[in-house]
Amino acid sequence: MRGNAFIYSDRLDKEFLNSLYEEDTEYATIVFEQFLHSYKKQVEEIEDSFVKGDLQIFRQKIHKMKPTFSFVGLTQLTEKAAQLEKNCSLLTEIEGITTLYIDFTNTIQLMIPVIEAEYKRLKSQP
Amino acid sequence: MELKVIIVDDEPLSRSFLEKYCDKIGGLEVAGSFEDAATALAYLNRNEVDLLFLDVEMPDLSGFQLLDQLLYMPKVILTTSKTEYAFNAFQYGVTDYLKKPFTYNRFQEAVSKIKDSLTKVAENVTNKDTEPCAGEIFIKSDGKLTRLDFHDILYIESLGDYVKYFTEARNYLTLSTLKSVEEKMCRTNFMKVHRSYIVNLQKIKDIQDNSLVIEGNVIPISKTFKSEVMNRINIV
Repeated sequence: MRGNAFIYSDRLDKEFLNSLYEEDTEYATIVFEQFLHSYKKQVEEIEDSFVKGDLQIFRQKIHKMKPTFSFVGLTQLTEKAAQLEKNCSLLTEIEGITTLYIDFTNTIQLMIPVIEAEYKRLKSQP
Repeated sequence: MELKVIIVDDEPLSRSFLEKYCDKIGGLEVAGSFEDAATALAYLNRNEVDLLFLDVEMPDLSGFQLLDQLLYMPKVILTTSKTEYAFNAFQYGVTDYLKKPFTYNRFQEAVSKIKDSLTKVAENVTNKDTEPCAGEIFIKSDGKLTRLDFHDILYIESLGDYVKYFTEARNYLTLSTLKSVEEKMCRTNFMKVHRSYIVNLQKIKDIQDNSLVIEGNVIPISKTFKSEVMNRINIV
């Protein structure tokens, strides 16, 4: 375990990250790395099911990925995923969630550079 | 006391957190970490564990479907990102329900509940279950007090405001509750196996899935009590 001076980015849910990792930035580094390593494939699978219009698989993939956003401080994406998942169970056609889904993917694209930068900062901790 | 635990979750980061937390808290030995419920089920039915960290929504087989197929019931902590399963969790007698993502403090609380409940069970065994099982009770039946020797009682069934005592000779219906009966019974031989049944363990003929047979009568075993029943009988 490294020192306790690390302050998470204001663009992330600092409070949640502090409660999750306490002072263990070494473990936080591992999780950020794992997230960056795995998110692309999961997002691609979600996109694939959306394009195919497979509401059930889409919901399953969203459900699976939902908590992982919070592990890197993206709690707002966990909430957006929860909203998507909820709407999936109310709809029969995937088109009904298009607006929410576009917002979800845009937020991911917007926040990935923040996660990458945070990972670099964590990794460079003494 | 070190508890043998397994983790079942199809999401790698969630498993990773649980493994980390189990290591950090101490007293938990992670015997396995599974990404699908079917593999976990095969493991659980070959190896007895004390505690199961179980995700609910997984492809192919859900956490609840896994519980349905278990041959015994370990302590269970559900880990899920949906609150909708809380009622089901209650029905399955799970000890706690962790909504993902959860913090280490919340994890600690859940594990403490498990440890507390296991300590109580152990104390119960030490204090009561080793008492000699000789003696009798007197029940009010047919306008008189009737003596029933413990060794004659097969099982007791709750019927609303009444309980029915089954013996080989005859049955007795009395105005009472199963809870008050349970307090008076010898705990070496008698145990509650369902909210409506207390059985004499010495009289069990066989056990299959979630029921047991005494003198040809099939008695259900609830999931809550299955693990304790299996612990109490002498399995070779």
